[in-house]
Amino acid sequence: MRLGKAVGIVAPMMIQRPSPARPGRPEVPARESEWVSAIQAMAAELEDLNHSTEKDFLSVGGKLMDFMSLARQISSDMAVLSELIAGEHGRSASAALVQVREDAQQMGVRMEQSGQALAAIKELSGRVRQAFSKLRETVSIFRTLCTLTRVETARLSSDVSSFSDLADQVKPLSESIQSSGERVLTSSSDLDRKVQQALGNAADLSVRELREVHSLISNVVEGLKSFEDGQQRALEASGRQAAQHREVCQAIEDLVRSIQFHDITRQQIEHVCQALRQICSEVGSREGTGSPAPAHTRAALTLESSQLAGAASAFAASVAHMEGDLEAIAVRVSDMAAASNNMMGLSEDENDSFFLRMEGCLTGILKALGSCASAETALQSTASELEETIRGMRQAVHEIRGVEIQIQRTAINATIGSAHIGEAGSALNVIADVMHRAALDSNGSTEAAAGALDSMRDAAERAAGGSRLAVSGGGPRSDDATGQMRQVILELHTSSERSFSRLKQIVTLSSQLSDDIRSLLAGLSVGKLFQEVVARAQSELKRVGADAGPAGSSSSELDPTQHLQRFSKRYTMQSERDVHRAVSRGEASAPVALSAEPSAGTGAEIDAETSDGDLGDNVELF
Amino acid sequence: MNDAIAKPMIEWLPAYAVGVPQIDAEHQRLFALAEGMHLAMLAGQGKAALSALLADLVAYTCYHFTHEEQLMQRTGYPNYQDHRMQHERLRAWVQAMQDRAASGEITMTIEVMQSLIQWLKRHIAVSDRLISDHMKACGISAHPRD
Repeated sequence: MRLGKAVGIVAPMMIQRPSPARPGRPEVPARESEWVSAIQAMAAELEDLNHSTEKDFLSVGGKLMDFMSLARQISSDMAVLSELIAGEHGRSASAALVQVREDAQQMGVRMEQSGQALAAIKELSGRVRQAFSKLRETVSIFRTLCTLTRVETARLSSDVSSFSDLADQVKPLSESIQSSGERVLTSSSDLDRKVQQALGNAADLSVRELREVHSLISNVVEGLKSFEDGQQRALEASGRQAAQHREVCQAIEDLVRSIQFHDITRQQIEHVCQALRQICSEVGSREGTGSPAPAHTRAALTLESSQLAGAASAFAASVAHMEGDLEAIAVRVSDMAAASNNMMGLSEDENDSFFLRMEGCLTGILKALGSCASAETALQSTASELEETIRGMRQAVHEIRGVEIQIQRTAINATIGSAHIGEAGSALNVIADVMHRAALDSNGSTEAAAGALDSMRDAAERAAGGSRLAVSGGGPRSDDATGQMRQVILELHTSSERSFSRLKQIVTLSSQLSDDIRSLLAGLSVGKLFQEVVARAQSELKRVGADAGPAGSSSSELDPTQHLQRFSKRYTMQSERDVHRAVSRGEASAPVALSAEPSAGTGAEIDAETSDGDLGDNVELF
Repeated sequence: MNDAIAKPMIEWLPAYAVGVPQIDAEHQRLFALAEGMHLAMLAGQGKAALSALLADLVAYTCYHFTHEEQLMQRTGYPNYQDHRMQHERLRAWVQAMQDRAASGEITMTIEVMQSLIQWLKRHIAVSDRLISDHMKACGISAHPRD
């Protein structure tokens, strides 16, 4: 991959300029001097170095583009996570959780009301039993009265034959009272048992499930506070991380630019190679095979060495800067990963993470809601059974009431009949009176029982009834409310699992980016190689220059001053670097600061050129 | 906003290779299962994917652990018992998770994923590599079952 492609998104980028001045390797004489061979070899090595460093930098540039892409994905993930925990979704989740808490509290109130109603039924059932506690005694009284009636009618014989059927009328009625009364008592006992059981369930529910629900809801409310704290922290952290991310992206872009500066260094090396080959071509061909380099080349070689030194210095600074920047990016990304980890409580002990605790709470709430719903259903079922039982008891009481009326009527008739008999019927009159009073007493108890049963019916309706009351009030049915709560919890859990996965991804990608950068740094040896090759080249130039012949022995057509002027016109690299840097900073028309190195005449020429908007032969802007 | 996942988050690396193609392929299968679950959770579909994942994990622990245990026995792996105990613990855990899911509990995707990631980090990336080290140290060439 070419760096130009790799850094395609960076505005001011370098494109490999065509090199019209680079003729390739000049023809080497059949028998060249040793110094010419040495310089040719050196130029070849410098060109290899150029290729090698270019390849390395292209590779680094490609990696940086990968890092940029990864950093952007992390940024995108951060935005999604922030939205999940602190955005609209997070706010609606919080509101939904508050609604669940309110619904659960209403459910608790309903169940408490049902429990109170059951307790009332139990108390009322006691009153029914109390009302019928003298039932057997009353029936016994009626039986006795029947016996006395038979005895008395036998004594009075045919005169009061009309009384002979009194006993026959009262006896079955009293039996009926007994039968119905026994039924009421049996039902009452049955009802007692059911109420006891239902109360036990309700009490158990109150103690276990309701308390558990309240406890769990309290946990969730606490969790909600943590969630809100987390949201706030997430907002702050995401703000910080967004800034950090921008810095990371900026740092990577800066790095790409600094790599582009290498293109200038590469051209500088190319120019040195070109100049050295030109020296070999122009001077070396005129010299004998064993001759040293002519004296006037010494200055030129020194100049080339100086150019190499400048390039090496610029390259070393560039590589050091790049390494420093890469390390800084790695540290920053690593910090971002740690911050992401801490943001939602993903600690080293991941079994105790915020997400797991929330999931545990939500699961507990769902379980408790399920238990509560089951208990509520069972309570309603029990209440329905109680209603049925109470209905049967009321029917029995209704029958008793009818019988009592019949007995009273019979007793009244007997009283009237005994009055017709006169003195002889006084005993029967007493019996009829007692029977009447007994029937009245019995009815008093029956009415008390009937009153208690009416209250029991109302209580049973209340026990069955949070949901029925809610329906009549237009509110949601109990099972609907439970279903809605369940749905909200499931949605909260979905949000939670998405946040968990997103955060895991951010942490993993950040760690991966940090590791990749450090891995790249560890394998970066281009700086050392550059220094080694340039040092060798400088040493060789120094050696050839030192071996150069004495002044005046050269057959060159140009004197040293002419050579220097000719060469110095080519070496404008520092100026070009300054221009490129200025352009990279958005100062396209920035004045060119010239190095003090070139001769005054050369500087004036360049000044004149740049004032016309030409930024130099070796710089192309895009 | 581009929400595409360019690279798998849970990815088998050559560094995890035991050196037995079948075992390595089965490890890769587990990483793929975890990655699939991760993607489902990212999309908010974790609960829908849970029962299939657990069924796959039950099958996986059945055939993969058998293969691995056979390999350990065949090569005389010294930590066989300890390693097998780790397998037993995962088998029991997977079964417990499946039982909970069968009872209607579905809000356990984070717990399942967390445990799965820990298993990948600690067991496959660490414990299973010890088998590979043992085989290399003993100069053993494993012959995987077909």
